[in-house]
Amino acid sequence: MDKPTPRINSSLREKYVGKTVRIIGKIVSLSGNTAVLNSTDHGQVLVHLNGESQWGTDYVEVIGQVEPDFTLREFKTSNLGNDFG
Amino acid sequence: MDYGNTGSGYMNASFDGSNKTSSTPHTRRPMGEQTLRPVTVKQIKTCSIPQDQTFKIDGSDVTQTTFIGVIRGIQELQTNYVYTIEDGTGAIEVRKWVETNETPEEAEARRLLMVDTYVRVNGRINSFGNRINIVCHTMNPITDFNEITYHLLDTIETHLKFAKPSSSSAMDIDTGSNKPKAITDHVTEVIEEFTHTTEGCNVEHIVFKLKGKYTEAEIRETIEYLENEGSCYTTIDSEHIKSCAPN
Repeated sequence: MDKPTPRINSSLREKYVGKTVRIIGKIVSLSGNTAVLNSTDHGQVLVHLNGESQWGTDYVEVIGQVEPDFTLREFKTSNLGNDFG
Repeated sequence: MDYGNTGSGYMNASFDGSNKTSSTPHTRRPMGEQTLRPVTVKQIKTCSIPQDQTFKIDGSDVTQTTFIGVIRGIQELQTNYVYTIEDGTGAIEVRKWVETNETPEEAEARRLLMVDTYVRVNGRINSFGNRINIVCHTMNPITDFNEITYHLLDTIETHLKFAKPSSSSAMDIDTGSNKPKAITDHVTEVIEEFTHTTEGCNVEHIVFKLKGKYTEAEIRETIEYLENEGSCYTTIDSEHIKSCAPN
C-alpha cells in the first residue's frame, strides 16, 4: 500500500471525495454495518463497515474511501485504546 | 534507550573510538550522522543520497531514524525478518535480524509484532540496489496511541527546524545579556590594540582609556566576563590581558 493516506477530520472530507483517507475518532454509536464517529474537529462521520474489522475500543482509526455523500467506506480499522488526545 | 537523545554530551562521548552501532566495519562517520531523527516513511524514501551509504534529509546527514507505522506484511527469512511498514505517507521494508539463539523473552516480544499493529521502529537507513530500506534494531508495539500524534508533531518540528534556518535567537546563547553590549565592545577594542605585544594590554590602561565612560569595577567585571567567554586571556600576570581574536 504505497499510496499516501492523509489523515483528515470531518471538515476535510469534501476535499478528498473518492480518495482513501484515515480518520481518527471516538465511537459515538455502532450498530450492525454502520458506525458514527466524533472526529477531531467535533464533527460527526458516518462509516459504513465492511464487516470484518473488530471495533473494540473507544477510539479508532478508520482507513477508508470517502463516498460522494461524505460517508466513509471502511477498508480497515485500528483500535487506538480508550484514552486518546 | 541509550541512543534516544541527541544531546551533544552523548555525541562527544561516542565519537572517540569505534562506531558501536554498525555491525560491519565502516570508516568513522562524521558527527553529523550520529543523530536520531523522527521521520515519516515518505521522508526516508525521498532522501537524497550524495554518496553511497550517506543519506540526507532536509539537507542534513541522517543515519538513525525513528518512525511509527503499521505492520502490513511479515516475511520470514532464515536469519532475519522483513516487515512491510506503512504509515500513511508510504510503505517501506524494515529488516530485523534475529539472533541464532533467541531467548524466550525475545521470541515473546517478536510474537507481539503482528500484522496491523502500530509499532515504533528505530533503525538505520540502508540502500540496497536502488531501493531504500531500514535495518532496525528495535521495533516495539505502541501501547499509548498518543505516541502517534506525538511522533507526527515531532517529525514536523524537526523538519521545520532543518528546512528553515533559524534566524531567531532560539539557538543563540546570550549568557551575558545583563551586560550592555557596548562595554564589552569597548573593552575588547582596547585589548585588541595590544595584540601585537607579548604581554598584551594592562588592565589599568583599559581603565584609564575608558575612564569617562565606565567605572573600574564595571571594566574589571567585563574583563572577567570576557575571560570566561574565552575571548581573552591573561598573560604574564592577572593584570595583563590579550585578546583571542585573530588579528
